[in-house]
Amino acid sequence: MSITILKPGMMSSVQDLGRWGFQQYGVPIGGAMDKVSATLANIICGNDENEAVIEMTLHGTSIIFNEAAFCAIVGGGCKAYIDDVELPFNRLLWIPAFSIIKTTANLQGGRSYLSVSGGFNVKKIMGSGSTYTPSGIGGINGRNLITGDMLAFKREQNLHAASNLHMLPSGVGISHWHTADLVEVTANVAIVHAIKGPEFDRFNAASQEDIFNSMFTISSRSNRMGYRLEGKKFTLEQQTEMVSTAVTTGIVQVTHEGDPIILMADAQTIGGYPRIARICAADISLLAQTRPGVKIQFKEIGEEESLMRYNRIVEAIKRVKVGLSNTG
Amino acid sequence: MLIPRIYNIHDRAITIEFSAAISEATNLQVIALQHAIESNPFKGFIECVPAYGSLTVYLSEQVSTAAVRSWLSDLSAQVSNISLATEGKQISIPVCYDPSLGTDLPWVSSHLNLSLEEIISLHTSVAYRVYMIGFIPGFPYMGTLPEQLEVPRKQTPSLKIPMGSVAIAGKQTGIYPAEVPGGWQVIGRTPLKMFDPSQSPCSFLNAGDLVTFMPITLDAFNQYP
Repeated sequence: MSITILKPGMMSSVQDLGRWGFQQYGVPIGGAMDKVSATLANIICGNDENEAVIEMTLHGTSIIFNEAAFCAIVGGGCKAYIDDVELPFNRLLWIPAFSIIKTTANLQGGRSYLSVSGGFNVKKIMGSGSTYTPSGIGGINGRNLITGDMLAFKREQNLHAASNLHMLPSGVGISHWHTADLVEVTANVAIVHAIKGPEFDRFNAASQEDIFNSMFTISSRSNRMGYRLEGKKFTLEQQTEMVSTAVTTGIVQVTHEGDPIILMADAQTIGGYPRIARICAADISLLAQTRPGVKIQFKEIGEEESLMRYNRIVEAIKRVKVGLSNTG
Repeated sequence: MLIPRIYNIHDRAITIEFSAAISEATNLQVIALQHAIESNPFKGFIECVPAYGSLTVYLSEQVSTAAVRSWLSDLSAQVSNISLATEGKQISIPVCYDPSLGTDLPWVSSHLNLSLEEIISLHTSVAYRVYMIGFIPGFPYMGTLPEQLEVPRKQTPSLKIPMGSVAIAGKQTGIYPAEVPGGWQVIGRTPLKMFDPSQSPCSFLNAGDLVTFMPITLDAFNQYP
């Protein structure tokens, strides 16, 4: 009742919806970069939304199923195959024993999430299975997945008639239904909704103008902690040292060199850089699906619209859940 | 009374900023507000993150951000009238100031024109307030360092600062809970574990604690249980 990682690809790790409740001790929330896709992958498998899933960054991952299992793949950044059969995303899949899922390049998207029905048996550290490598906690020994890592299923899996799958000759089953794509994946310019940050007023006029009116490229020096942006530099009206205060996913902070960084899932809990903007929480998943080299443009919105957009995503996830429970 | 600035740092996180300066009085207020919220949490409350002069509150979808903001605004006004007696623990931390562990001692000594003994005696002369935990899990930001010990951060951060390193920068002193890159000047090392995920709480120190350093010999450090 397990899978084994044959190749981790660019980077794969075990993640759930994050480690909550320990930020006052400096422990980041972490978890899946694209929490919407991770959630959908679990919903498709009938799991609790917070079950641990495998986050696969871009492509090159190869995983063998040691036993048959139901699974789902949601997100972007790769195409998934068993032999020459392409596996559709956003559907419930039945994977026969000894099948190998391999992922290949896809021009769009950044991360895909593999869930199995019932979830993986991952030891929870401080309430979460999420891998946080800087402290070496979560997932498998607090590190990214490597060749040979085995992840056990929590429960045995049986193909049953009620699943109502389309069965391929290879024995792979695919659900007739699929869930909606809730995360827009783009290879062109990603439009990211953002609100003025707490220190917006401290930046000079040109910087205040540029943040919402120029294009940025996501740098290759980006990781799960943050995305560095290349483009216009930002300057404070008066160079003053800031006293550190809480920061979180979506904060756009500006380094002493004037480069903006968008804090992502593994964002530290406290930071000392001025915050020129913050990304609407509804657009974090879109960013997680935007890869280095892609251009982004910030579109200014207000607090109310930001909340409205965020609530819309929360409602959309609820609707998918209700829709699937009716599918049976 | 301080009128705090209140703003969102996320659609589900609100910051109450009392002051953008480092002061013990403000930090007492931050911790008092944290205790007031945690002892009587609102529906949908997730967690608080205290910083030097601000408290950030995380909330779930169960509750409206606007409602919590206005509630927090009222509560933070009341908190300034609540007794601000500190409830933090008083903790003594053993530190070995041997130059083999306090690798920046020679630089600090020449930069400040102080002997090794003077540095140790100054660093152990006061009780430090833990203002907040952050940077990495379990890293305490403590102050206030005696003025004679103030040094700048390194021009180029070290790629690896060993776990347990006790370091200083500006008016602050801190302890590295894991081997990470860092820019503070290392003057000693403690055998104590600052972050342990198997313990509750996972961080040895909490915001609001009072810390004193106790010098130990290299032998004592090596034999520490």
